[in-house]
Amino acid sequence: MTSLGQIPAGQLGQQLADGGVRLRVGPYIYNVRSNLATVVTGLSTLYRDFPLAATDAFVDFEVALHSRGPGQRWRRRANFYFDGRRTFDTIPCAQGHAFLEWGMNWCVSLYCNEYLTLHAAVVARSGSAVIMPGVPGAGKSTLCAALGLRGWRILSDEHAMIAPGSLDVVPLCRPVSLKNESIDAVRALDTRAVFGPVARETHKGVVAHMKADLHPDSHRQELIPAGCMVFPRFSRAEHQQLRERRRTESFVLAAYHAFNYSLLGEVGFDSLGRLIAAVPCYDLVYSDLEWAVATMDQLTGNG
Amino acid sequence: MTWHLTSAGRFFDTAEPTVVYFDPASGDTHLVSDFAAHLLRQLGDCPMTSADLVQQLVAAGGEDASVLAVAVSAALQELQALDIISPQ
Repeated sequence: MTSLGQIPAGQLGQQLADGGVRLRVGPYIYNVRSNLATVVTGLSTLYRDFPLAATDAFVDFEVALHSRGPGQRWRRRANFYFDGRRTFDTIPCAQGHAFLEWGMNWCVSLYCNEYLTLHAAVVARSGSAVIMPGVPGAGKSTLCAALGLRGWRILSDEHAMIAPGSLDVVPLCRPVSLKNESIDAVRALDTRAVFGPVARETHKGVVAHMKADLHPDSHRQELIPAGCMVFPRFSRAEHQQLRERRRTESFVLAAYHAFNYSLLGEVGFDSLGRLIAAVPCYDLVYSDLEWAVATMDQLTGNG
Repeated sequence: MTWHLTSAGRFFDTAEPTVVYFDPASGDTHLVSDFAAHLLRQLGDCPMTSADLVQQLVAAGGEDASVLAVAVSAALQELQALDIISPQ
């Protein structure tokens, strides 16, 4: 299977500007188009090992980031398009790649309702997935990146997609979104971390994405059963600790972190109930990434 | 006043001090005390007055009726505020 990195240097930009590049991400295919240099750089850096779908394959998500017309080009602004329609306000071209990532997330958050989808990072080790729900800024992406750099498989930085009636999580590996001081924290943890373009002055501050497909199985599509749920929280003001939490409270918190729990109604209740009844739930408060990684290793019997 | 469930709800109960209650009519999910969940189960069997509920709790070996009456009244008020139960 061809990967994006096999597209000859210099041709990627042209291909993105013309028909686009069909990226296979987990069970989905994105056709990505763009005439922005930052998107070319981001894709060639972060997606070079991603498999490409056949040119006649069905496309789930048609996404584009274009700077169109002399006025928009002069102002260095661009728009995100979904199925050819402008979806959000214009953004600075320099933030193009970051916005493409957000747009790709948005597609899943809005349209993939065949699964119960939690706002969570998901990592796996020894065939068992750990679901890590959290509000933006909780520290789930930072921990996810750190675990990825320490041998865990990153299944997703953003979406825990659970097949109803099962404990199985859908792998949906894409770059990990890191913000502000998290970027340097991850760089300091491992100098081998590969980052894409840095977007400054976004609504989330400074944003950079880390290459996430570091594990040999990163692009395998088989579902992975959940082994536990961990609610991570970065805090320098508290003692680092891992403690088990009540399942009923975890249920309500996980439902709060779901994109489509309410939309799914009783199916959502049944799916989440089945999951929470089967897996232990924990709070993880951390301020040191090495400690957090070691704790996760011990928790899952890999320490 | 007779109380009844606004719809036949679902429980996620793992023998903890709290229980998750799903109301299919509204799609809302609530975290309620195990005591409130017990009352909801009783009302799910058949509509009852608060006096009926207290009597059942006493018969089941509960505390003093006057203490239970206060607890039942407070729990029913909370459940009504959540639109899970309503008076007939």
